[in-house]
Amino acid sequence: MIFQNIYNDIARSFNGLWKYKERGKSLEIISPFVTTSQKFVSVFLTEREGEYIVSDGAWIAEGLYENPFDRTIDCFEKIIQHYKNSCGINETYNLNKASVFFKKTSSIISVPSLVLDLCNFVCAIVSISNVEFADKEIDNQNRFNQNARNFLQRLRPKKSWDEWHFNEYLDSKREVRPSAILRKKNSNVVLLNFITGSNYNYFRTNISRANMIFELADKSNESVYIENKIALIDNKARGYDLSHFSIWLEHLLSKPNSKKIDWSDRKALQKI
Amino acid sequence: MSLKITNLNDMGKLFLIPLTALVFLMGKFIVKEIRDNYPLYSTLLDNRKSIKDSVIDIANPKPSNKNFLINDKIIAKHITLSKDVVFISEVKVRNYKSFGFKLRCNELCQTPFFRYDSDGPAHRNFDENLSFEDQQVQTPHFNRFNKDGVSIAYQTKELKDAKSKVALEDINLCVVHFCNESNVRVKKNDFPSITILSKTLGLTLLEDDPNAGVHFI
Repeated sequence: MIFQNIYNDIARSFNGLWKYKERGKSLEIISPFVTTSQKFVSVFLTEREGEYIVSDGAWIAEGLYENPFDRTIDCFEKIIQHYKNSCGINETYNLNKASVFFKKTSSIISVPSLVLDLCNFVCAIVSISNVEFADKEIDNQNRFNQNARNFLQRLRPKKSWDEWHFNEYLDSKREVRPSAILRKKNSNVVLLNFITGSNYNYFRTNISRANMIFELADKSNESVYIENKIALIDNKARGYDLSHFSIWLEHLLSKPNSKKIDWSDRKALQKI
Repeated sequence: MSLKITNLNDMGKLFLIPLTALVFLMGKFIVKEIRDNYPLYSTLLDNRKSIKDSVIDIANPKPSNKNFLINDKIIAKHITLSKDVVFISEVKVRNYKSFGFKLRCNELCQTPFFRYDSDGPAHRNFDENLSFEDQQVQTPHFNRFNKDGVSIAYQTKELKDAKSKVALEDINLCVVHFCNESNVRVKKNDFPSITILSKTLGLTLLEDDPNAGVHFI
């Protein structure tokens, strides 16, 4: 047998990770399965009326794996149902109405297989619960947009007749809609696009969108009134990583000739 | 193979692919704010922090999880920094031996920067220099962050010792241990004491079996 020593070491190491704790009438079995939150999966074995039950002990629902558990997120709920069906997992509730996921059998030789299914299930659900789903991303973007709007509204305009407009079209054809427009007394305008993202892919998408809006603005009949185009960058966002989107940003700043202001330097907006 | 996006749901799936890959490829969660401000993090944790309250009553349901009671109103003042630290105490509704303490500084990051868990899953210290078995740290344990912004679990010598480990199941002895480990005091040199639901009858609940009372139908 090739690599026998390594193979033996793998088997011994994995075996050494199985641990237990006695908890009343249940045995906590600590498995070698690890979630992406770096927690070892525990399952709880008990016996009721001749049946062996293996449960997650409500630890998923209680967030003990440092995991959120928001079943109002449609994608997440579909994933739970998929894993429940494919692993044959049942669901009930504990005295605090927290979901308990379990499997049961009257055959003692099936217990290891139940433990495998439960561990797989817990590992998958906990790890997936930490994924930023697209609909969560919309919440994140809305939050930044709201913060930016609140800040702009609090800004004392240079002249009292300058006005901020949000979610409004620049042009009479109703095709160009930046995040914000500052309309000045002399009819000139400053266009702003807010750019954020919980990872660099979202940043790229939002930079591309801002790029498109600024380019279309330059082609519109109202382009002569555009005094300035500003990309307000959420440099405090989790997805802010210039190494992944600097080319996109450079293109935005050069092609439609816009300016960049970082959220941390937002006071610079007082001078526009 | 071409990928045709026909509706918004398909677009959602497309977003999911790189995100999932990112989480798994990293192999560990990194708190960027701590990694990028590590000297501040160390100062925040290592230097003296003072709270005014000599008694911390844990009495409010945790908004995000009704299975826990929480007190997250205690503010610790740092001896040199102007940043406030929130001293959070939590206890499981049906098991008062299952509790945790956390320190959070909202100006640094939303994630608690130091914590103690008396119960819950074992933590994996993801370090290839450690043997596989040494990567597993069972509860009770503390968690602090290393300079890479990765959460590292550890047990003090008191938690490794069988006798003192049993003693530290008492939340009032443990809060002293937590304060020693994180350099928190009441005023100059005292330690806080913990009460749970002090305005009620004061029954002590110790249901350690998570399967107890569950009907597996």
